[in-house]
Amino acid sequence: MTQKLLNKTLRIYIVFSVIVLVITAPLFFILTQYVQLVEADEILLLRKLEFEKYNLKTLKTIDLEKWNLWNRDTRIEMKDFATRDNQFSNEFYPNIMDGDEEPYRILRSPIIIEGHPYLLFQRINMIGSEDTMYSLLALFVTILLLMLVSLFIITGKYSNRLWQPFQETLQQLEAYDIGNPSSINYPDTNIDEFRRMNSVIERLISRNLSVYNTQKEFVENAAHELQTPLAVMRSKLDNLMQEDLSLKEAKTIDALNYSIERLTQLNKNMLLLSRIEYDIYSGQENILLNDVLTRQMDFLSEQLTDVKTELLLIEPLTVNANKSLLEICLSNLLVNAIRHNVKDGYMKVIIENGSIKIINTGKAESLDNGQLFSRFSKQDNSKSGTGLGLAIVKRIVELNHWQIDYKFENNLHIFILKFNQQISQL
Amino acid sequence: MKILLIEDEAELAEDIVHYLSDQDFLCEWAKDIGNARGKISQYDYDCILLDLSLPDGDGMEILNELKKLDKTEGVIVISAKENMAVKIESLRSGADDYLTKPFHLAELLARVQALIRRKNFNGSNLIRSAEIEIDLLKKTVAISDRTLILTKKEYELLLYLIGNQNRVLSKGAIAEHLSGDQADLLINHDFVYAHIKNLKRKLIDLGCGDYIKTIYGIGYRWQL
Repeated sequence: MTQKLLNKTLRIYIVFSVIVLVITAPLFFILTQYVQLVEADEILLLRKLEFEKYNLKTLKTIDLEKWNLWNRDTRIEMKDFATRDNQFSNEFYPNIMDGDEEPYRILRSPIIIEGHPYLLFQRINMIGSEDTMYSLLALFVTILLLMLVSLFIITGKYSNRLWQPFQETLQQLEAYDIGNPSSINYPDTNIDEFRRMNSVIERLISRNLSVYNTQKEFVENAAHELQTPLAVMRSKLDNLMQEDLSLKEAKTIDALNYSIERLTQLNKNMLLLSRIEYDIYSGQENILLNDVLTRQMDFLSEQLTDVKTELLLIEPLTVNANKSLLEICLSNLLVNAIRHNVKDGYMKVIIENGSIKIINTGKAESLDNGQLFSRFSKQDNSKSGTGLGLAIVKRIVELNHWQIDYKFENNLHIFILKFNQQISQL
Repeated sequence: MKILLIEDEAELAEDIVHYLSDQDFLCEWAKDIGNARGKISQYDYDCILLDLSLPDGDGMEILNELKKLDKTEGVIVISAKENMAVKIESLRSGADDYLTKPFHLAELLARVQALIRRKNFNGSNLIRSAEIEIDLLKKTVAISDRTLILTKKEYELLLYLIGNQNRVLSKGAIAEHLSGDQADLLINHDFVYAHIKNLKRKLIDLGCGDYIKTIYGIGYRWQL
């Protein structure tokens, strides 16, 4: 499955951000908690020092009961176990509002009052710090999300601009047709990679074009050079036919006639294919397809005895094209539908919706769509035909930016030629 | 009738000269432009058959030469160039017809006859063969003064057969001739048989002799 580069980048961003969030959030939580604990401990120690400095010297054992009565967070308890040093702990005490247990930080430190050992008990309520921590966490997540969203927007917008030269080149390459080459307009860019790509494409295209042209010329010249020997063969046979021939000789001549005809047709198609793009076919005119098809179907049905033909002109269809090429294109499609038909089969041609539909009976299996329009890909063993007919059709279709589709439905072969342009016929 | 053939391919030229001479044409052959120029300046022809790719230049030169000399010879270009632009250019330069190689000799003969008939317009528009009379202007056929109703294809077929009388025409040559500019739509030659059969029946029905001979395996011949 292919996906856009931008989507892929953004997807990586999302995955990475989630991973960062998952890892950093607990870390952040633990760290804040630790910092607050250290802070609370410092406060507790400070309070202990203040107590020792301001209260301890004047405190008498008899006042202890009163002290404890008025103070809840700094109390003095009997030393009932051996506490030698400051001792911190976390404990829970119910609050008076709803009786929920609340977290407190506790410091117990040993003190001496009038020579007796006591325990100084101090506590700090940690409720507030817990709230701070949650809001900090929320802030953290919000910032992260905001950053992610802005990253998305910026990347989306900016990368479109960044890739603009690339897109321009790509679009032109997509429309590029070596048979009908147009010069490519390489966009001005100061990005090294794009510059390199453009120059590589330019080199590739010019090299391919020259190879293509050489090959085309070769085919054209070869086909052309064959015309004269073919003409000699044909005229020799035409004269030979006039002799008094035995049956065997006549059969030989008939076979030769047939072969020369096929060779001539093949040669003609090769020439046509190699020069379809030439200016000689550039003259365009508006052509009423209904007329062209009616004429062609008339001549076809005249030749046929075992295939029924039907022409359905649902609507008038006018196409702007070169007349010779259009006629060649249509006749190749029609002849194709007849040639691969079966005995007592039929062919139906329909003009509707700005397209021509050619439906015919034939071999009871679908043709290979990928091979159908390539040169010399005969998909059945019929001996007639040059194997170039549909290749020529495809070339003409491409040249005019039409569209041709093939499908196999209900044991029928269907070719649809869409013109993508319709000149209203009033 | 005098015809000048300008063609560098000796084998082909020989066959054309042979075929046309058999139909009572006087056919001369020039193998290049220089040779052809000499002949054109000295003689008048009824028809010139002109190849375009000649060893000493382009056949177009001959067309221009004819114009310069104010000659009215009909010219049929016979060329290997199956190219619309060349076709149009040569027709504009004064050629009357254009035939692409390879062609059937029978087709060439039919074109030559048609051209000469067009050129000698003031002459007869009637073709006679045995008891058949064809009026080329009205496109009607009569057998001993009785009108024969033919389809367009049958009429063309009859004209083609009579034009090439006593010559064997292959089914392919007939099929191509009848298909005209729709040769791309030729599927097989079977329809020639149907047209021949119908034409033959119509002729015999009107009391005409059976002049269409079937040459087994090859084709047909109008035989007097």
